[in-house]
Amino acid sequence: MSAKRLLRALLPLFLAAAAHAQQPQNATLRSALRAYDNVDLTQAITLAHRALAERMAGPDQARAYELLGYAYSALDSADKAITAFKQVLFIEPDHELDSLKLNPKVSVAFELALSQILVVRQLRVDSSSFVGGQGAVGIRYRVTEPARVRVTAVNGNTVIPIDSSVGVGTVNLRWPVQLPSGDPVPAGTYQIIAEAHAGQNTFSASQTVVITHGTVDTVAHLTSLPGYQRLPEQETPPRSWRPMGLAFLYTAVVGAGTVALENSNLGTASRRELAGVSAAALVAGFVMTLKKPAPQPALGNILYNQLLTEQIARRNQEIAADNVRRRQQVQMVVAPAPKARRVP
Amino acid sequence: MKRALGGFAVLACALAPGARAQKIQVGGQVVFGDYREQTASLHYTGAGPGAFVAFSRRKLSGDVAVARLSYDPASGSGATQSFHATQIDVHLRWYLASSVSAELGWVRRTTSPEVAAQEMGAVRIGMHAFYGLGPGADLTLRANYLAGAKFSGGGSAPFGIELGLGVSYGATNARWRLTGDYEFQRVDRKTSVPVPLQQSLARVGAALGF
Repeated sequence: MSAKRLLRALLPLFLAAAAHAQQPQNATLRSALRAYDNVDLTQAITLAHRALAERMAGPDQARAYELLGYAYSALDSADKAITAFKQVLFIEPDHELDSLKLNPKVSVAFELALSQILVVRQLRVDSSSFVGGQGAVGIRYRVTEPARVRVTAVNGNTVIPIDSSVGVGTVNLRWPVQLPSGDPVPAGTYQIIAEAHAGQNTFSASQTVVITHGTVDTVAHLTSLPGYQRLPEQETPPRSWRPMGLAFLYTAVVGAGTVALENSNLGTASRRELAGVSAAALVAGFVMTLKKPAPQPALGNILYNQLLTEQIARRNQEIAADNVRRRQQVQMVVAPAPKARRVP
Repeated sequence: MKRALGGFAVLACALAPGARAQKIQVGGQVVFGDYREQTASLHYTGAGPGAFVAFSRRKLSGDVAVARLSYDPASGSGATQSFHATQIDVHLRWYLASSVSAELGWVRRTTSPEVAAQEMGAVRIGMHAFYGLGPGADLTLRANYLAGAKFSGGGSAPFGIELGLGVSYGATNARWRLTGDYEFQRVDRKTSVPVPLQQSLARVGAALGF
């Protein structure tokens, strides 16, 4: 069976399962929802109350109270609607109304319900990866009333304080994932708990996060500096007439010196010896003028290369020292679990 | 002469163990000479074999050269007797800067038969310049004052000077070289009357480097 055929066969099953997941488990609640969809509000309210009297799971309970909130809002029973929405928020603090069913009456009732109870909503912990001591993970929550909120990370008997402050509305925290001693928090699964206190009222929300440790990447040593290349340490100078000129100069100096220093009492000296060697010198000078000059050490380039080598060595020393430090560090990864659960 | 050759051999042997840190060249030469003495009429020309050893070690360098020339009276000269001249030259140089070295040396010329010409010996003090013309080729220029000259016939030389021009070409690793060297000597010897000496030498040869 091809993959397409298999997909085609399984697709209706997936759709049915999704629809079933959206449908309440409780039959009475399903009937109440159908009555509400048929705009039979009185019947919907009756059936919702009947459903709440039965045993239902938390989501179904929240669904039933939400249905009551909608129905009472439609019947202009604001107080009852607010009470119903409060129950929704107690069961599911992060609950948001269905935007397709929103109308001003429902929105007002829901916002009033929010303002009259103390809940910590939308507790979120960012997924983050950083070197221990050099970063932090973001934590956000929303508290509906002015309250002192203590945020802790709990793993078994270990309780790590994160923050304690008075606030209302959206609060943003930065947690360095460190113990009070400054050491990184040990790896493990933690509950991030935000506990709000306002008078006698308390409410807490939590988010599960998994903290893992890893080694910090070390840096490889340099073999060259980016953008800097070694220069040739020998350069061939351009051809010039200097060898010929110097041969001529040396020959002229010796020839003139010989003529000048000859003793006049001994007559004019033979030029045979001078001429022979001078000719050889001039020929050598001429040949060397035509010949490609020998490569000469390029002192500037040699110095440049020395400096480059020193720079690379110095940088590698820095890298080595940095790597020693990196090997002592911990790469922290904080990954929140997908679902936040209310702590009773 | 035997003592001089012995000293040269001792010097060569003393330098040999450090051959890796130094350069030694040994060469043979054909030497051409022009010699004048006392007056223009005593004029000789000749030629003969020669040999030399040169060395360099760090800033110190030098050479020892031996030449034996057979001088015959030049055409038109009033001289009548041929003679053999053996000349030993020693040069020691100490590098100063910019291819210039201070030079100290010694020259000794003997003749056979002894009375045919003046034998002489002198100390040379001067400067030596070296210039590399290109790969394997170089030029040398030297000028020396000849001091403390002694002569077989007596007398003294308050003024004596020597000029030299050398050229050599060979392998860049100095394993072999062709050499040419010109040397002009003027010595104003005086006894009761001026009896000057003047010699020009041209040495052409080849050398092997070690």
